[in-house]
Amino acid sequence: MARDFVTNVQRSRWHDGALWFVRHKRDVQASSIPEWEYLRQMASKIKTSAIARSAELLEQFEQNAQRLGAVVHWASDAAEHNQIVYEILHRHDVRRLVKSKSMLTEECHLNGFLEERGIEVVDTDLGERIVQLRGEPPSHIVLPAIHIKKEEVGETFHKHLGTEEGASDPQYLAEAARQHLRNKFLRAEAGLTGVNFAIAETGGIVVCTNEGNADLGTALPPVHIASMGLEKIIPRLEDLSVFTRLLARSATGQPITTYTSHFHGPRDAASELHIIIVDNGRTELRQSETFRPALGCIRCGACMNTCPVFRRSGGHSYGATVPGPIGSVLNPSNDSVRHKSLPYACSLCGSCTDVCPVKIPLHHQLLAWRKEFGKRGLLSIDKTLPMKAASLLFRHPRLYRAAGRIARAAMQTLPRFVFVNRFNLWSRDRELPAPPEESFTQWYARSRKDSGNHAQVNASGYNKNHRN
Amino acid sequence: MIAHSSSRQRILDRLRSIPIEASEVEPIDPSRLVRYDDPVAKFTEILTLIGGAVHEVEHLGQVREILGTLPEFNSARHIASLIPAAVEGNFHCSQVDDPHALATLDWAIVPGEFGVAENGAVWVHPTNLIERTMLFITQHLAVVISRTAMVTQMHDAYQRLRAAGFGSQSGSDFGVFICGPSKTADIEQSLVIGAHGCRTMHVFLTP
Amino acid sequence: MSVALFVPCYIDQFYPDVAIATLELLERQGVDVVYPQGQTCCGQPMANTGCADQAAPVARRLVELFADYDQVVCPSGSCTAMVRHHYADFFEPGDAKYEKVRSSTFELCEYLVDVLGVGSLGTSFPHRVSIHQSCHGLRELRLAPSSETRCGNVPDKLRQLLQGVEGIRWATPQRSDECCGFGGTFAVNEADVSVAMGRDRIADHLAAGSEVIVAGDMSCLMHLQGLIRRSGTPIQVMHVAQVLMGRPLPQPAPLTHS
Repeated sequence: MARDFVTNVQRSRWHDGALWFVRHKRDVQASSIPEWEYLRQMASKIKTSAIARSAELLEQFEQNAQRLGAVVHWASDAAEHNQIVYEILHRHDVRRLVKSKSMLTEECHLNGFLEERGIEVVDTDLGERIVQLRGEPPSHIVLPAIHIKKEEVGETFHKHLGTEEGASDPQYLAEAARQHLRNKFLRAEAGLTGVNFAIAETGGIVVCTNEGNADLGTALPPVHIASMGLEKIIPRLEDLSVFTRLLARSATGQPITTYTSHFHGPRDAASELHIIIVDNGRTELRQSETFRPALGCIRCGACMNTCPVFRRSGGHSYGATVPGPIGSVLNPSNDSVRHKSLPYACSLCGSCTDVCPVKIPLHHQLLAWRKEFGKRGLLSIDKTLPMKAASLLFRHPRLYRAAGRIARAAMQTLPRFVFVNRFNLWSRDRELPAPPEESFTQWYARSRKDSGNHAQVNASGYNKNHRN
Repeated sequence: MIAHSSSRQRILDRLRSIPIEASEVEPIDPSRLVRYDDPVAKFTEILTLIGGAVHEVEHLGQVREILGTLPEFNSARHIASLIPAAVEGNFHCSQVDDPHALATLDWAIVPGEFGVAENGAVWVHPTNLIERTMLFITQHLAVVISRTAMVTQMHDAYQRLRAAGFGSQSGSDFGVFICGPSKTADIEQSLVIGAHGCRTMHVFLTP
Repeated sequence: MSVALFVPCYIDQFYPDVAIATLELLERQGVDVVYPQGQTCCGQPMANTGCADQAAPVARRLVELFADYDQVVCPSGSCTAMVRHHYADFFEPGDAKYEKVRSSTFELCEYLVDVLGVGSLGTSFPHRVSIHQSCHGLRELRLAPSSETRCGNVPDKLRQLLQGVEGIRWATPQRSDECCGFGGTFAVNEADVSVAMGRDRIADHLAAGSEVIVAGDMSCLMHLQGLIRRSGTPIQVMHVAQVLMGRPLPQPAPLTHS
């Protein structure tokens, strides 16, 4: 699917440009505070410590959240999470649920589960609503509809919201969505939100949005369900200062999200707040020293915006709920067979690692997955066979030199179609290097055969002919 | 209640199954943090950039005067004010207990606790559900804070919240940093002001 | 002081002048360099594919070959990063030879700047030049500050060295350090994305008015050159060692024998 996206050059360029613009805004914001790298360091330390202490912190959180009147649930996997949500809704006879952004519920495929049980689920984040109406999954964790053009949004809204045919002005379309969703908010019987941070020491949760949808969706209906991965736990209230400074700057290049809402307990005595703490593979990931730091992810999406592969191939190309570099690290831990191609859709450029506000060594983890697949024997023969051959060659210098000589000679004499054909993925779009007369090793043996004589040797014979 | 204690135990057991050394995290070193010569100016700069409006006023009466110059205020039908000394308002929150009653609210005038210079955010701490809902359901929001209530950055902000006892109450509580009008860029990265929350946000800085 | 030249396999086979320029560059600084015989590869292609078993013997061979030298210099950020940051899996913890090679292997530019303190080179290159920062040189070896980080005073070693060459005029691409899309086996496994990334880089350098893209890693340049030659784009590529030695601008080479 990457091929489909990337070979549509116009669309791929447009997608790349849109995300690069976000990356650029992030750079401007990162430059606006001189302590940027210090904050990243602190964020990494806080998360590392919180991941280590998660059992203790989660219990502390539970106790405090209960003291404030919240109900705390624990779910081992997606199915249990969905069941808990359903039972809460069922108990209150809820038919209409409004949701704000939650990648966890995407991961759990909650919407379909509830819809099958007759509950209307409305994603209220504009981007999420767009992809929901189109029957697609989000292609980006912060910018769910980044892959869709305004004309396509216009068509979708014309069909579902009755906007004018052909209208594609973002202002007009967003206004239509506001009216449409206002109505949904006012009629909702329960609201579900994700959780950006859960504070162990206070029992509170923090949700960050720009649209205000999490706030409307929890202020109006009497039941608030908050779904959180267990890695969202942070120890203290003050830790938020580090994360709120990094999150929006990294995500969208804003100094802070428009709304940073701190919920402590249900909205009033007559209402309910249910917090669901979900594992779904996280404790598994935590067992691994190599992949553990990935649990520090604050879901800012900066690694997607910076990833040159993601920008050009889009968030749907590799079939993962969480796409991009962090997704390629997280997904194989749930299903390494299904997701074993993900860590290879990466040039190992390391931009994700440098952009990550919590300093997850993402590109090293992607490399580690490849090793892990090798260890588990999951690599296909088209990967292992060439490597076995190469290894053999590189262990036997004489063989290696002979092969080099033969290859160079062949490239000089054999017809072009031998190397340039549709089966050679290198030369489908690229020339092979022009083969030189001799290797450096040969040149050295010829030019420097008088060992110990390190006087300047005129390499002009090469200079004249040196071709690139 | 739902039976889920087995998952609770399973998760906690799993988390405890391997000991992971946790190093102590040192507190933030204030000497490494950005400071501004004029925090109010910085706050104004950032919030304005983000799409909010900042007005420095000498007395509360000026709030009404400035709002009176705005067409969207003059044409407003329902105005709720928690600061009657600034704006009278015609929507009396104390008489409603269902937040849905606020659906037609055009303007809300509310007090804020303090501002944050680095990002233009204002901490608002409503005392009940109606005051809370108002912040998000209103078409236009005006927040009044004292310009002396300005912290430099989020570290100072959370220290201030701790000092005020936020998070250590015995019952429900809600507080929010609001930074400008609600917005979205979900359609082709075009910024649209007025997503689900307020369409405009005015911050009034009193002496 | 014994200094060994570590020549990556693809440079040995396809770009011998890069190794010659490196050798001459070092000798010009008065460094007594030897080229140990029997070198092949650092093992990166196997390691990056996940074939640790295939990479390990190649890595151990390399360490064995260079263990007796005081310093090892390599005209590639990527291969140097492999030795410095990705060899641990192939050796027992504390392996003395590995530790020695790890700490004494330098990428060419960092060797020239950090170890030799090279300033002006006395060479000239009268062309408009743009730098392609190879990702491994940039983010694994920190040869320059990356555009993502805000570390302040990290010097740009490639640029610093090139500033010691007479006559260079600079062209600056809009994206200062985006990946070219080579990525080793990625270039073939994800050929479409790789090619798209490479084309975008070339267009960016071309639009900046560059005559020649200069990098510390010939592997990136091999990929870019492959695209440039196929499309006939009027821009060249050169390894930094060649520019530092004042080599003439290469002539466009004819396509492979047809």
